[in-house]
Amino acid sequence: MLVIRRYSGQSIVIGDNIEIQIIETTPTRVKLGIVAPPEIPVMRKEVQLTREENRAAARGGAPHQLTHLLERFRSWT
Amino acid sequence: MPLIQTKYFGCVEYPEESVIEFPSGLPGFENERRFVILEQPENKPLVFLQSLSLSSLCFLALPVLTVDPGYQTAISPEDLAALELPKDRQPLIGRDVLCLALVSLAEGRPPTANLLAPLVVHLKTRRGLQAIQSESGYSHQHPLLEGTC
Repeated sequence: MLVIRRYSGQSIVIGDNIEIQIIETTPTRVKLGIVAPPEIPVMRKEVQLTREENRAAARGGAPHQLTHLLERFRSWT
Repeated sequence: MPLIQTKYFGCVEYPEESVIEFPSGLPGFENERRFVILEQPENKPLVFLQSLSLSSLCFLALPVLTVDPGYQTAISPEDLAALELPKDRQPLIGRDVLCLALVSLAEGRPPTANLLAPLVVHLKTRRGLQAIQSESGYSHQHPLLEGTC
């Protein structure tokens, strides 16, 4: 992983079309401004994780996994 | 009562009041806006969230408090506003909102629930969204068959 130190107000560029500006920093958070072409999706990592997890949840598992889960719940109640 | 073709239970009748609406869809399923909650006594506390427009899409979900009895929401002010809930406090689970964690059953790994981003449904309006709680510290893959369960 490339690690770069930057101050507020400075930027980094990725390729020809993407720029990430450091707008503001506090001891715990960083405010970033991102300039990218519309075809490049930009999202918080948690949104990407949730999207992938939703897709995995929609695929479901093998029928025996569902049966096993239901059996476990029955044994708790 | 209207009928729908479901993924797991064949053709099922459902009461109109069991329909919930996600005006923005869910991440990865932005076009799926209307779901019906299917509950059967024999499958409790698991619930099935069946899409009304896509019969092959049915999520498994658990009320967050059955996964973690001490669960605390950290819904962002933007999401609270979108749900038409007061912005100065977190809603009460069960009284103000329904709060469900989607369950993932994938081959090769134990079942998990997404506690990072629960589905939050305002009970009064039956409208909901998936609240991505960036600052909650909960996992998107909380193991189900161990620990607090």
